[in-house]
Amino acid sequence: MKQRPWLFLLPALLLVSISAFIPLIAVMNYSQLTLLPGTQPYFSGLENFIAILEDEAFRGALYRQFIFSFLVLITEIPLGLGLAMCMPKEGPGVGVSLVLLGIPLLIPWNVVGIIWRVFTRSDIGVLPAAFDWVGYSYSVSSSTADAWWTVLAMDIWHWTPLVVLICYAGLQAIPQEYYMAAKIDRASPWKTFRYVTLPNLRGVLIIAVLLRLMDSFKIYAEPFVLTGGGPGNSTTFLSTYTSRMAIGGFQMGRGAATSLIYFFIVILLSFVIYIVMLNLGQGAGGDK
Amino acid sequence: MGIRIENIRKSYGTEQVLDGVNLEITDRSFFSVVAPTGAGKTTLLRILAGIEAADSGTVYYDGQDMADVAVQDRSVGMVYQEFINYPSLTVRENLASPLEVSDQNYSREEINRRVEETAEMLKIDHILNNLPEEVSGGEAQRTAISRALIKEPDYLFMDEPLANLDYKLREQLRSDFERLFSEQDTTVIYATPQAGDALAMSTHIGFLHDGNIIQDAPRDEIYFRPRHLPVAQFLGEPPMNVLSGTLIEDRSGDRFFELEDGTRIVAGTTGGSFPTLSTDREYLIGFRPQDMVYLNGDDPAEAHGEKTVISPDLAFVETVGSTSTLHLEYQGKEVYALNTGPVHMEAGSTLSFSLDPQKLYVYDPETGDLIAAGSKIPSFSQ
Repeated sequence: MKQRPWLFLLPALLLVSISAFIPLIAVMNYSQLTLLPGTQPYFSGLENFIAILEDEAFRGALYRQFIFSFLVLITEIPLGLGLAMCMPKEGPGVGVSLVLLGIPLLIPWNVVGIIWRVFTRSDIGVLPAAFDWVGYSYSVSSSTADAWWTVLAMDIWHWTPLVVLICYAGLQAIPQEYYMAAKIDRASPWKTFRYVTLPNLRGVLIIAVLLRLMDSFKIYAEPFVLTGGGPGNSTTFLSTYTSRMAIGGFQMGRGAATSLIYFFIVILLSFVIYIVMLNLGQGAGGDK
Repeated sequence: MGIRIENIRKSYGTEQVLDGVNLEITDRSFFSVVAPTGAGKTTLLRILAGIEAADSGTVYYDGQDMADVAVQDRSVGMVYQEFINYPSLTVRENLASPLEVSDQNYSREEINRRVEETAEMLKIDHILNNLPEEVSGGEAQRTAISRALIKEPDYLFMDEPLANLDYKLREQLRSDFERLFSEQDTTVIYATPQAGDALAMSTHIGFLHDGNIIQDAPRDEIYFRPRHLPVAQFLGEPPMNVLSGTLIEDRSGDRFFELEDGTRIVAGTTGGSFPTLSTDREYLIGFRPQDMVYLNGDDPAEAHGEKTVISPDLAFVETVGSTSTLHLEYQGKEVYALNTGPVHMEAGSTLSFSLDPQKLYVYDPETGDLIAAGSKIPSFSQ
């Protein structure tokens, strides 16, 4: 009967292996094969990896990906935290603001893409019309800058509420006594934020940053629907690159290798950020 | 001069938490506000400190109305049940923080000197360079107390500061408090549901009941002369025993309380104890567990003269530290007796105890007020 606990774990294990372990192992296998349509697959070792790392298009996508994720994090985290701090702490306002914030999160990615696609259309879109009015010619299909900030705006609109919800829950969990103690100490609002709110929010902020980092690395639907990765390659991020390589270019082996590199980068980056945030500002007596 | 409050009222929704509280706390005293959990101790403390506003009533510090003085402009410190320290600052920085943000511009040397002194006083000088999360609960609370004390406030408010500590640490901190605050100029206002804590440390105790301080007095006085039944039953561990009986005087002039089952508790002779009580009336008779003297094998009928013997059944024995509390059952009521040292007794056996009539308390069954007390109970001039 010692095996009994395993019996209960079996359904979960099965599900995880079918959805994650087995595909991952299959991808590892493919990544070392040359798979071209109409030919026999053959083993080619690390050739796929080398080819990808030397590919200019990959480096470009990776570089854009880093910039995009960086911009997402430095906008959404402070904005989310700020909004969470402005939200009412009690009363009917709580329910109203939580529901309003939840709405963007309920909308599927591709729908968000379509909404914004309609917004940005040059013939009927509200954005080109509005910019035209102030004398700016707005076009996501020809201007790199317009395409970039539009994709960023989509992501911020869609995902900042998640950060707000996480931060709000974290803020609610800070005992009021901390703020009273700071008040008795005559701490300024900034110092109260710096020494009471931030340290007590460390745990939830780590979660928010990691979630947004991983998710922003996975961005696919928004640029795909909005610009198809253009103009040129200017909104081609890692996921777009990978799917193009594997499906558009029929290079399954390379696609698999790209996914593994991609996977490795996300894990490594998350780990580094986790460690850094865990130790950030501990015993920070110097900068009072 | 100290703190004086007049007619403080506070309600949350329909619940009247404080209902016209009047209180005076003298300078340099250690004043405990004692009440069961949820009676409004925290609210009272917060109003006294100025963290919360009362619905009506006035708070005076040294005779000055404090209504318009914000908490940060008063000379107060506050310690909570939770260990409140700045999480990202070391213990040293935590101690220094109230001085550093103060508008009095302490010099670096002055700050360091005070940090060292306070840390030594509260025995945390060995953890000054640690973060609050790296130290034990007792040390974290000592840090919080140091933070509150370092500015040498006139008034220190403590809201159940020992509640989150385990038994051993409580005892330690309790004796440290006694020593510490007897040397300090700070007036301590201490809220606790633990009668033991209050009796161990306080100079004065106020008992909060139904939104009012129903008795406040020096510690010994409130312990020996609890003027109301709730005070008597709450201040004391285990609580005072209470039985109800009718006062009867027989033909020879002996007076006794007759309990429901006919047992007689001697009340002395006419003109002896309780001369003011009228006969043939029902009273509540109170006696402290430690005044029940266990008759170990002695013949209960013999040689106890004026004393009463009662024989309850033993339900179980609870030994804490080196004292045993005997949980007894007597006429369907729970009665406690104390015994020093662990004991071995069979549950269910009948034990005999003698009671000294001069150590009885008599309460009015309707109002719960103290109407008489035995002559061996210390009295205090009002």
